Amino acid sequence: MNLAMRLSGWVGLMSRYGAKVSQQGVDVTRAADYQKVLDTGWKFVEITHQVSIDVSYSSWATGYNQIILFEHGLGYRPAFEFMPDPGWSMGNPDVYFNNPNTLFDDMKADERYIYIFPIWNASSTTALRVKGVMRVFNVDITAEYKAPSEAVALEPGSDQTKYGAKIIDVNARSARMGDTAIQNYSMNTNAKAISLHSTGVRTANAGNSNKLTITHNIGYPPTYYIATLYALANGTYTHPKAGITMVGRIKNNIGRALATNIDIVFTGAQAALNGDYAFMLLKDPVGFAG
Amino acid sequence: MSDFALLASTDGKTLNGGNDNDIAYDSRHKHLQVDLNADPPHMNVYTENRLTAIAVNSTPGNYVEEVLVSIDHKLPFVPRCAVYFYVSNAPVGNTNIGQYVGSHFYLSGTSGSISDVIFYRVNETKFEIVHANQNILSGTGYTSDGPQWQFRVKYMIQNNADSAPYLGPLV
Repeated sequence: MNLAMRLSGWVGLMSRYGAKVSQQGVDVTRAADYQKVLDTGWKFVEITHQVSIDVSYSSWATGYNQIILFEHGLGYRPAFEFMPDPGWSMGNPDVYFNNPNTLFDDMKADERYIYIFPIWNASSTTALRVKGVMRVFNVDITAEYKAPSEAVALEPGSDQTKYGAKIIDVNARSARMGDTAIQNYSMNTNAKAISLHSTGVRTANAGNSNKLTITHNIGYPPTYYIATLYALANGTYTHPKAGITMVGRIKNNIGRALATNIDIVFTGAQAALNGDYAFMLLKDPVGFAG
Repeated sequence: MSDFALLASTDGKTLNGGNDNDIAYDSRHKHLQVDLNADPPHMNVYTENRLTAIAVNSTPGNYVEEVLVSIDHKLPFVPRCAVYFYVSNAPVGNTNIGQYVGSHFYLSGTSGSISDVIFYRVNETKFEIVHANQNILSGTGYTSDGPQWQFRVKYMIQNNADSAPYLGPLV
């Protein structure tokens, strides 16, 4: 840990190194995980890129067509999501292009780019267009990770707002300390920054009845996101990235989930789950845990 | 970007390691955030058992909905939302109890021609939890078994802008 800091108010140093910042009115030495807005022992769900995408493609070749939508350049396969422009999604957020002349293909990320690989059906030269907003997180969703947690004796918080810590978002050019708009801050003790609980990869196959099981031991059904891992391979056509495994977009409505305080078990809804899936569980704020 | 920032590496890693994934916190990045002082609250867990037997007639396209929760979120954009439906009670014989699904959940009468669903939607001003029944293709009507369902609904309205309203799963 490189950082040791002391800000105003409810900020404390951890042993041996590091910093933690509790929510307003909560003693940092007594703050449970869900009462902290910063703990350098955790990873936070940071947004490395949020960009508008408008990609058109009409240089169709027979077989797979490799279309790069965005270069994230993170050096790992990140968690990412895409919010399609409604005009291009038929009202369905799971669909991000509407081109009857190509087969639908999910977005896929490797360590540098986010792609799609649609197959042209050779019946038309209609252009494909992908339009919307891409959000990439500073999360290597395929890496095994579980955040440390601390057992502390809780005590009620106070309503004091005189003390606290705020860091203005450098991208919010006109923002000033004193703004009440939370979105103008990178950190604010009046807000909760969402942090990671765990990431990793689990497998569903015939040997486990095509069930995808994530053991979390959080104590309640947590916020989850799942992304399909795609082991790209040649088929009828040669795949330009054959032999490489990429990760798809994160979703929170894959298949059917049975949740307990200990684990979440996913089964297929319309087709059996089969293969590897990356997951991202979040540390829920107290108002959301339950 | 600014010359000034607060950065913290994860345990055992260095800040100059060149890998963003080793950074626990970087104030130059936006974060998923939720306002703890929002009024009305921007996150909540509640029991939803107010679904009624809304009915659609035999005309394909017939759509009926009931708004269960409606919140003025007071954000100057369409916010990113995280919403989960946990089934705590269901019609006798139904195997959905304990299921936990994000964004929307289809009730038991749903088929390729009927969609009976609880979902969230959000636009520039409002966040809503909605129960809707839609005749998509069926030549007969359908009455929802909504009164037999109970959910624990978790929602979080985040201070992160999405690009467009989310209208739910129904076209």
